[in-house]
Amino acid sequence: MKLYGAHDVIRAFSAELRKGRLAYAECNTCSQKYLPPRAICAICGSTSFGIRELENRTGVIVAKTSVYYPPARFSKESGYVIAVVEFEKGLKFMARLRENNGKACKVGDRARLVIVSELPDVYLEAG
Amino acid sequence: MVLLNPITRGPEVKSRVAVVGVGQTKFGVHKGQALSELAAEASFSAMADARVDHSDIGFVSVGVASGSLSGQLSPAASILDAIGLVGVPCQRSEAACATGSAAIYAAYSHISSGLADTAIVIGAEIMTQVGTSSATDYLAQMTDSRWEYSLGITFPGMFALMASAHMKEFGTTEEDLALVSCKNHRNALKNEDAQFHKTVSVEDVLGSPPVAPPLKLLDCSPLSDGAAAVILASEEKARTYTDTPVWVRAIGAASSGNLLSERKHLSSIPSIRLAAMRAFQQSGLSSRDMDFAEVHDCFTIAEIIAYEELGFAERGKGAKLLRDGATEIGGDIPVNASGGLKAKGHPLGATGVGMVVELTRQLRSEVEKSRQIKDAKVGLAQNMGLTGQYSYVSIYSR
Ligand SMILES: [Zn+2]
Repeated sequence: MKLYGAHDVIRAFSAELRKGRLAYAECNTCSQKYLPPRAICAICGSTSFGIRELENRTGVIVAKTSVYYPPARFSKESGYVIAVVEFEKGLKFMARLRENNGKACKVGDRARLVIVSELPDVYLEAG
Repeated sequence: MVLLNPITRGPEVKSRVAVVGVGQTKFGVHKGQALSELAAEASFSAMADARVDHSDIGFVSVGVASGSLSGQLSPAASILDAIGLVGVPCQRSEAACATGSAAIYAAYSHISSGLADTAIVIGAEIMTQVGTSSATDYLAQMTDSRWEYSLGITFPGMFALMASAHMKEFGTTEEDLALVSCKNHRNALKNEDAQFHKTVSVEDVLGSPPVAPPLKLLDCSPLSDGAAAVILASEEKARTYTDTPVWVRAIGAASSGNLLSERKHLSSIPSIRLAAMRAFQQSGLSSRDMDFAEVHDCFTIAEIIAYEELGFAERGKGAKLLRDGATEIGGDIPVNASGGLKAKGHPLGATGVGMVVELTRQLRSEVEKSRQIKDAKVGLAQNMGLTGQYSYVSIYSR
């Protein structure tokens, strides 16, 4: 049994990203899955997790918007798209979405998580 | 997500708790005013309404969501000074947009447990003095810094994500969302304290600038300044102030995980349902017993989801309830007769307290005649912080 502190969890997640892998945590007690990983289970309180790789990084867009009134520090980028995508096992992730050649995609379409490096260099790519 | 403790025990109630006085400022733009000045105006109005002795107040509960917006960090001390209650135990609560309800919960806990006999709750916020872009940033900083804010998400953006999911899942339309705005603006026309007094049509909403599609400017509550105050008292003490107290029948509080993306359905806000379940359990009442409600329509989609989580409509049927007119004044369950956050205004810390001001005035038949709920005996207030990370559902009755 390995005890993860919150910081260890983030480090493990980032280390996996640097290797081009998307990690999630699975509770060793109740099997609840967390993306991003967390250090304590919200269902059963367990601190024992397995860190696993989510191999298929293509999922379905379940929510999508564009931000036209951004926070001050993002004002130069106004109009960026943010989506939540659902992968297998019901795991979801929120990220910026790049639409192909400005062709708008919609909720229900597929998107793939592209890992450039560690956070914030990950984004969703439509199609 | 399954929950650790679906039902919490109600508080160990030593005394029932009553609302004996309420007051608020107009919500809107209060140029050049300090937070403590608005807070004092609402407080004096509530103290006069209760005819309470200054020396009776044993606890001051302050609700201010953001120090950054007003430039007054740790605001409780300056408010205490402005209302002349120096020396009295005082604390500030914070739960984002549910800050006002958190402050009420603190005072309610003090009185129901016997720690104090009489308490004043003051909710206040200044939001219009830093400009829209900075205000949007300060608010967005309330989302998770690592996983959400870093993407450039905003609150309109968060609720737009939820709206897009609700539309896909249940066929809710942009017209449905617009109808929430039209209804609440119509109600605010009759509310003197409301920020906006203008008629808004479906076409107006659909034609307003996109903020975060599918949400447009007229789907969003405004930036507002304002303050609201209520005086709570133990049953014994309340009888010395008034023959017609309004009773706090229950306060159901709940929370949820921090990340929106972890939610099983992005079209739902489970913490509202959980808080409602707790409030109904504590009071022995159900959603059918409510004569009217004030709900947290920070964005139009939030009101539709609130109908569903509170049990006024089945999941996915919120828009139908609205289209059928059930939530209009005169309908089966009037919602936001005050104009709601959308049109009455949404000064974060004042919002939850303002809901209790509205409920109390409705239950005492003291609001403008054109928006008075006939024979109102029991009302519900639903207030949430962030996208439901903090939830309060409370029930008040004559
Ligand atoms: Zn577990």
